[in-house]
Amino acid sequence: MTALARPDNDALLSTRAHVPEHVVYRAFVQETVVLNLETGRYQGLNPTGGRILDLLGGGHTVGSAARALAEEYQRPVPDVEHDVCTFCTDLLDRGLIELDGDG
Amino acid sequence: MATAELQPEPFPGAVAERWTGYAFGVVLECDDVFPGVMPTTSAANGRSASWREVSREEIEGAWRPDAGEILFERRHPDGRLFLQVDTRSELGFRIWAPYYGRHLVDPDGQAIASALPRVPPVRWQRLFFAQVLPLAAALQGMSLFHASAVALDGRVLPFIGPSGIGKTSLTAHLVSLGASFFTDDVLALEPRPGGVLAHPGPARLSIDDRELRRIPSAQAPRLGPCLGRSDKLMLATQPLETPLPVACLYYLRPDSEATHIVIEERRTEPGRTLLGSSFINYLRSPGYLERHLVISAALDASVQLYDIRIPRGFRPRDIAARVLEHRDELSGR
Repeated sequence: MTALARPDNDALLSTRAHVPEHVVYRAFVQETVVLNLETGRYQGLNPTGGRILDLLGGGHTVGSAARALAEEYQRPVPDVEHDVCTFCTDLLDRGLIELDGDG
Repeated sequence: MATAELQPEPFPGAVAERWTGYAFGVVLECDDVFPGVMPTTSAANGRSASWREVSREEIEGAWRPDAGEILFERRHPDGRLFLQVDTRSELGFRIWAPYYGRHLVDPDGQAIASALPRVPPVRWQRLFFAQVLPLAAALQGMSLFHASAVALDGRVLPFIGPSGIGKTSLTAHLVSLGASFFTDDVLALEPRPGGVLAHPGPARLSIDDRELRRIPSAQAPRLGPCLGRSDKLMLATQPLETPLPVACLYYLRPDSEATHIVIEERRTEPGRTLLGSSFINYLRSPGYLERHLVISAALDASVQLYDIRIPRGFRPRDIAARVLEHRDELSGR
């Protein structure tokens, strides 16, 4: 199977992402649980991961979500951008988010 | 006027009133009393399933042996079939266990047809209440957990944990000590504002006979009469008749290093424990999976999960006594 081409981080940061219809998630006290309804598989996210999902669902681009997160956590923007891009790429690979225009 | 003229006669085309009972949040409708199901006149939020007895040939005729997708299969150690569940989209589900009966549940869980084998009733009832009625409830929107439960002070205490850990035995001992029976092995839940509502199961509790003998004879009558044996003894334990909110959850876990029974708040990953306690794991429809996620999140947000760490050698009676102490501690008694 050929892996789908993923945008580099610069392109990813300017892109909006969304949670597809076959994915639902709920916040638990200690984590956010994402459920892929097509596979029946659950994925646990730590609170920061859950917050990123909320920001993406609120219409942020990946980059603006990263900047909002950097402000909330008082962290350097480039560091957070890198972490958020890694996180989003992992979710893309698992089919738990889609880039706008992909779906 | 002759007296006979005053006798009511069946109106042509009228439907005779059917018997209705309630378990797992579903009203079961049938022509006669269904053993083990508590009678009701309420509508249970509109969830109902009609039940009728049919011949084996009727089920086999509707469902050819080579048709359908096998969802679940369990075999005896010697390879003989113990239980099989298969599905066909237009017919629903067939649940079949040799010597326990075969049943058809329609795709929306609103109709059940059963071919009952010529065996003692406790045998087919065991399968009906362990698999058939729970499946109908799940198809109608209930979330099912692998749990036994009692009620104390108007709230439900469910016990979850691995198979064979002693959920039913603990429940039986708590009932013998004065708690109200709520359900054995399958717990039906639905969200409600600010919490989770639990629905009682049928009036049946299946227990190992050695464990039943450990219940003092003066207290054993609280568990109801013994109806017979299938793989275990089946007791006609009367559950509460109304849904109740969940107070907290207990997870039973063996702990070989513990020296006494410890009950402590679960601090890590309670959500995963709840998600892993689903009943009817072969049901993978998006709606059922999402409901389980939603109810697990509601439980996580509204009630505390406690671990009961059980050292070697401690029996369900000891655990029951500790649970009652724990409830007293929490309520400040």
